[in-house]
Amino acid sequence: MLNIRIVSKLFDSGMRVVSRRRGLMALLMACCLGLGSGVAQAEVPNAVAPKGTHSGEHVPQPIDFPHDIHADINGINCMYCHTYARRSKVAGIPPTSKCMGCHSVIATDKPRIQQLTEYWEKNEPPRWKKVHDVPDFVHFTHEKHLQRFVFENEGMNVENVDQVCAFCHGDVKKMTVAEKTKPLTMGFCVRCHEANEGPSDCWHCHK
Amino acid sequence: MSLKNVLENWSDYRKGHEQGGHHDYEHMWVMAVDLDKCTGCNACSVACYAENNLAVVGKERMMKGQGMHWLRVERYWDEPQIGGDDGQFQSAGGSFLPMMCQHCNAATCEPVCPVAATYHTPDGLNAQVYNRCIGSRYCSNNCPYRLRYFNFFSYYEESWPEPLNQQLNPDLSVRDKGVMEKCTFCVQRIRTAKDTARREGRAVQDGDAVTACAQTCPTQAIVFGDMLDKESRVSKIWAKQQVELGKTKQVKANPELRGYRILEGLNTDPCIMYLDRVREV
Amino acid sequence: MQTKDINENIAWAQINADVLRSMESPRMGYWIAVAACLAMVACAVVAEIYQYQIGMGVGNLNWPHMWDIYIATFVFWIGMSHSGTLLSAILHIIHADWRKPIYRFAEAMTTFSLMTAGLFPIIHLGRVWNMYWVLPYVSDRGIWPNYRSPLVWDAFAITTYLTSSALFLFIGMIPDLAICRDNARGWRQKLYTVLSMGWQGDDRQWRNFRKIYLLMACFLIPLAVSVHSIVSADFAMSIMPGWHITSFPPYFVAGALYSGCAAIITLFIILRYFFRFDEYMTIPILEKTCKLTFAIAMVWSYLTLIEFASVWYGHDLVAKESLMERFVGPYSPFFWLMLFCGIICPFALAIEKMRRHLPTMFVVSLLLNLGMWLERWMIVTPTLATSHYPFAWDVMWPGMVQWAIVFGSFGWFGLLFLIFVKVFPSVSMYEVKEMVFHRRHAHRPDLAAKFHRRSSDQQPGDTASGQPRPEGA
Repeated sequence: MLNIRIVSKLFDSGMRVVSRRRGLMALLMACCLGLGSGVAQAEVPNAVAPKGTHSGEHVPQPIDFPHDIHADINGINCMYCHTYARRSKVAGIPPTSKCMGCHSVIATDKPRIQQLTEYWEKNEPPRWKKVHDVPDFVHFTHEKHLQRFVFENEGMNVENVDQVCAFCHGDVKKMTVAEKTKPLTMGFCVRCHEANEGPSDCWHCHK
Repeated sequence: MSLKNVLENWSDYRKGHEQGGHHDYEHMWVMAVDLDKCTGCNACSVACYAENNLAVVGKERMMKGQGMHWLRVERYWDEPQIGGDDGQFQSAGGSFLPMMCQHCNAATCEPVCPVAATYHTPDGLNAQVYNRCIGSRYCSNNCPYRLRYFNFFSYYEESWPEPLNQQLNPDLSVRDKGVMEKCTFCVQRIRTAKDTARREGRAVQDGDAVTACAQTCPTQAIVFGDMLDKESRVSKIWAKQQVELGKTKQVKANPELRGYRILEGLNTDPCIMYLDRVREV
Repeated sequence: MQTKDINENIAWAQINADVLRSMESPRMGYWIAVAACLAMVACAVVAEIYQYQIGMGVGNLNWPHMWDIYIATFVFWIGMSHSGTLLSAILHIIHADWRKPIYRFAEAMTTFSLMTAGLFPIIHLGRVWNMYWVLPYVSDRGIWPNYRSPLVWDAFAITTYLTSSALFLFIGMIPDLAICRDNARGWRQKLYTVLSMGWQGDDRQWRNFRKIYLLMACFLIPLAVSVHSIVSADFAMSIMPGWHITSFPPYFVAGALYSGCAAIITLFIILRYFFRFDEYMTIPILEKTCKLTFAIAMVWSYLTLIEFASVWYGHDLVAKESLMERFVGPYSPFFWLMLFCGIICPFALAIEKMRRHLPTMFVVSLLLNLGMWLERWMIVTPTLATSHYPFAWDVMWPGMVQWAIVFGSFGWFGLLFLIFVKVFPSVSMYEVKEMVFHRRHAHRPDLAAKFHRRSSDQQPGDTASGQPRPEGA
């Protein structure tokens, strides 16, 4: 535990250097620590981002949904589609109708959109696969985390919510379909809870 | 609890060891059960099965004592002099005692768990963390009320065959074999009530959190609430009965008052007060 | 009638030859015993696999009876281990040299019964695959075991005791292993060469050996006492009537020594009979062991009666009820049998005629151990049957799965012991020589005085190879 904390402290300072100077030195340091991703994120005020990386298996989805086009190039807010995140345990996968709201007119010539339209016309939802899955005995709540880091967080701009999402979901802006890039283990959660003074009561998450 | 946490808060842990439980409670959830109102209908027990994903073990295993009814309604016959042995009077003489985890503030089950799977929450609840439990069963042995139930078998397929698994409550885990479980005072409902209150920017009010048994009881024999809220129904009932937490013996101005706690003398400091049945002798 | 502990004129080559003979290729009877033990272990393994797959309920465990004969047998085996330490460490420190021919197998018994005992807390867990959670390892999750729980203390105590007693057994065996090395061929020679760690029997080695042996003995004594006190804390720390008893730690330690000594008598007779160790495991030594056992039995009986008395005269009505239930309740036949075996039977040890009669002693020692096993069962089960809350009163009889695992544990112990007696010397050769040497000179006060000063810290006149050197006479 102690070691992990020391390492994360080291990395903590390393990360700030990266974001300020983007120096080669700091990049090297981050690489040495094997904590390459998550670098160059703008900071969320009043929060310590959880540390740790993971390379999850690629989960094939019915349609290769490009997160990068939506969130990065077009700058759509995460909560526009994952609309339940702010008010319930789950973030929610948008219904096809939400996709069609735009895609009945936008980019209708692209093969992926045609695939989507097919689903829509067949009146059948695409069977999206879960990527960020935690065991059933873990009761994670999106709502409370968004309240703590976004809505009740002074100085936090709701437009930057993707940085909060990135705590656990990684830099989705750089992905097409979502990949699991954070370990989402209990240690990962607990260290973040300690750093941000979250509850340490077992029954908050396990019941 | 990291090492740093232990070292920095050592004096708190040490004090906790001496006194048991927490000292800065956010809530103190307690119950009052009026036995005079209890008709022994078992609706509370059924509600508990539905709410808390309790496995139905079957008649044979129930007879063997391997059932898992978090809330059991115990039936007692009165003393012979009030017609206990006489079949004609038994219907009038039987009395019922709904027993669920007493959420003792000095719970005897907590210190003996080798992996700290059972502990006291700042809500005054006696928690059981299923995924931490390794099934040493010491907690049950050390519970004077015998209110902890063990998953002697895996019941998932037998108890909720398709499509019955759709009825499972998603707010709490389904337990597998080898895990101890017990009444949680419907912690998932308490949690929801607290979240709702927070979302609405207000304090938790009396009646926001209601356990499944209290909600279901047709005669409203079970009252549940926060003891720290002096205006709550339950704390008024406790005050009226002159029963207080943290005592091994209640001193009452009026001996006619019916409130009592079970096995209080063991200093387990249970959080459920029972109101004795009014008898016609 | 034999009165001397050991034949003083026995040649040292004879000692080596006798002991090494016991390790020679086994006869048919040995293989039959091994097969029987394996069959017993197989029973337990099948039962455990079944229980693992289906759940803990298969052994009839139920809601008030969360613990049963698994825990009783666990305590029994832990108890069994204590007499080895008594013989090898405590008697070593008080210079009771009659222990020398018999301590080796007792010490082996300690190690093996701990290896058996250690299995039970694991077997009885509902989720065996998570058993390592009771150990304080640095985990990514940053959570620790609950140090207040006696079960965690158990985990520490048992692993420490097992490690130390195995080390003690091994260290005490090094000079003998050197003798074996010099007389063995093939795989045995390779094994003993490694295990004897280059023992040559020179002065420096003997001096260091004495020191480390004494050190280990001193370390083991408080450990042995504390281990069973901690095991008793599993019960005494609870609030259950019949468990929450202040005198439990000494009571458990006495019971432990008692069952262990009884087991020593059993194994003594078996080894003497099958390996023809009549010269070493002599009747006077058996008599001394019996007297020791009798003394411990009386301590245990006293503590048993004291426990009854303190409950009876105490104010705790529930404890009284629970005690009465033991005397007259559904488990009472076993309770009375326990009292008979534990308190009445040991009086056979006080009668010289019976003490010297091996078949009688064999039966008596088995009865004593039966009594001690019943004692543990009668601690665990009746309390769960009759506790504070009358609604939860229940009588439960252990099912076949539980019996099979308990039965198999005896096979497992037997198997380990059978392997031991054929691979390692079950009588300590160098210490028997020591004893013979001392006894020989006990009749020659002049020589005794001459050697006395050195005798405690130096092996007189022996070499590693065990070649007898003409001395003393």
